[in-house]
Amino acid sequence: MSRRRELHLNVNILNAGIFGGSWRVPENDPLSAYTLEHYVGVAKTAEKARLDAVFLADGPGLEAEIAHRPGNSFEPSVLLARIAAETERIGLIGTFSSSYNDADELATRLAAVDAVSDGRLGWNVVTTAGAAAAANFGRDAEPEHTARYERASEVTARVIATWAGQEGTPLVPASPQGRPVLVQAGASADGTTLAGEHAEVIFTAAQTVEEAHAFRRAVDEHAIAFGRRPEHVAILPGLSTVVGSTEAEAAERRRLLDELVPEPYALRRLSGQLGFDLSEVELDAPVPLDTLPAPERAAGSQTFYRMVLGIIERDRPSYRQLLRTLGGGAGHRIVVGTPEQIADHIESWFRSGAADGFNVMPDALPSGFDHFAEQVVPELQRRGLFRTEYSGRTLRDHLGLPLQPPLRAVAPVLTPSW
Amino acid sequence: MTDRLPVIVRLPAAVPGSAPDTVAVAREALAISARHRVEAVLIPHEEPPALDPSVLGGLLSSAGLDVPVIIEAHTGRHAPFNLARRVQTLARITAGRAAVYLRDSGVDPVTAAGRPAAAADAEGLIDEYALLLRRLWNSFPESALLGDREAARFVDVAQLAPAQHEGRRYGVAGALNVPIAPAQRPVLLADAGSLGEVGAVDAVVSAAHAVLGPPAYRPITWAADADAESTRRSLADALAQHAGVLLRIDAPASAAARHLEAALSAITALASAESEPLRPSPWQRRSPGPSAA
Repeated sequence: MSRRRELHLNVNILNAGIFGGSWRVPENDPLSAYTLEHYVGVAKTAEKARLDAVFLADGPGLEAEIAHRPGNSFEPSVLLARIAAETERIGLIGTFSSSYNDADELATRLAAVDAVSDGRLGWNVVTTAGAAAAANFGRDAEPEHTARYERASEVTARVIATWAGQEGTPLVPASPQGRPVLVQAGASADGTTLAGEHAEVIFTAAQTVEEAHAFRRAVDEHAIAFGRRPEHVAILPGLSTVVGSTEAEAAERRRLLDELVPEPYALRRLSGQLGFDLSEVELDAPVPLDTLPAPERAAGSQTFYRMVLGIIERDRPSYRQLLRTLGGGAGHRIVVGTPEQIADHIESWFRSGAADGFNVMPDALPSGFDHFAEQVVPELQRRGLFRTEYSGRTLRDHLGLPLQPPLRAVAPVLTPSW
Repeated sequence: MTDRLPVIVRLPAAVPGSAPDTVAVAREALAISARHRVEAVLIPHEEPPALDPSVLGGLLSSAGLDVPVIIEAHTGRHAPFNLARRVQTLARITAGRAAVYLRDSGVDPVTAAGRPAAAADAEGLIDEYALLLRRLWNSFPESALLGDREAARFVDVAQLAPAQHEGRRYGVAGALNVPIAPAQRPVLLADAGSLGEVGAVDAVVSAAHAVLGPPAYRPITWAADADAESTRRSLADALAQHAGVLLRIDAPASAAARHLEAALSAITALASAESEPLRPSPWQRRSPGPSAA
């Protein structure tokens, strides 16, 4: 690498924490994720630790698992505007659906958040999988995978054009960072193409360094094909963290979190990822690899299905072992250990080029992020890997991304169909 | 809330090209409005590059003032689920000080893309939209949030009331994912002329005098260069007829605060001269509302 690489860290405020039982840990209020203070508090802690950004996942609908665990709740554009009022530097990344928002309306709304936060917004473009969300917008079924990504390409291009003021008169207020940072999550073939076309930050799921390198090569190729520079794309895998002051303490905490996952929730979630009902299976039987569908034919999120398939191919686990590996979480890599061990992991992935940083998904919120901010971040700073002060004010400044007011003259390659 | 001035103050939402100036002017107007104990403030939808009202509402909520904030929203821009959720979010983070002023501008593009026939159907649109907003706002009561660690039960799904709306234009299946207590549910306003059934909303905006129906707000502009006596007469008329005032200040940004102070002082003087108002306040509405069934 010719330019000096900087480590980037976001915290994913995934309601009460990444694991299915996170909300049940004794030290946190179980309903914390349904309070404003929860989000403002994590954002302030993140700012104090000099993280790049907070990250909010989202979807327009109530999750089927709500009986057993918290879900997305506060609408991100309103919530981020409020967080912007209570913070000064921390970046604000929100997830907004390309399928269930109108491009013109979304462009002006996001530009408003970017303007009132003095240039701290990032837009995580998602296509929103699932029939439940579709049914909240008058659809009988979810649009199929490729059609969702065609629309995502069209909507993203149109939002960027609106931000750039292509028509001459400015349609949105000016932003100190030119325009919001584009973030993309999702590692399907269509998702990787979309990332190569538009994304400046990619939030992905990778279990091994090899997988991460392969993903990076694919993204780089797409970026080059779209006339972009690969070094202007930061790849930040999700990283679930379980921090303990000793190895034994961390392992004990992980064991507790496994114990706290509501079993109906874990089974239901894995059923959805594998595409068949697990309520009748023998939990200690091995997962039969040969009967699982190919990723392209799987319903729902291909990213997580691929990842789960990877674990099954590698470890040949029983259902019970697989449930444990996934931890009732979203399937991101889980690291368990002392602050030094977690810093080692982050350092080795970063130095190998497998990641430019991480979207940190603490085991429980807010407590697990307090542990990360108070123990892991100082260790990374001691090693000279992570900033001790912000050098700029905008999210682009934090990420080392160029100002992006000008429009690329390249039309979207994917064609819109709905 | 008879101690409140029966006024909604329209905040300035766009000082062209400069977001920080817009925010500063809006903050000042909000503070003045709170000091005069108005019933609510309205964040209008204005032409670009104005700030989105729900975003400005989220930002201004950090002031922690005891004044409800009304978001102006056009049906042609927002799918009902998205609008219901943003307003409910604002209501939750302000402990119930949020409302929406719903304007009829046809069917939004996201709905129209899924249901092309809906786009051409204009009749009764606000009534259907209003009904749907209420259903969504009532769909996830706060009491359903259990957070029961021992029993591993997070939400009591039996208490959810999914919208299950299948109307002429809109189809919305689910419950909203933002819970709220009945006392904090958003308040709904619309133009009287856009409604088939005035009972569909909590308050109306209307230039005409109406004896029946929900509380009405009469749009009145206080213009820097207008005849002050004639504006005062319009204000007195509205108050005498037990209407509230939707107050717009027409003045350069630099003079807006001064004119807002003058206008609110004038209304305070006029209101104290009136006998005890008969007007019910929509801001005390704390039941699910007439169309929530």
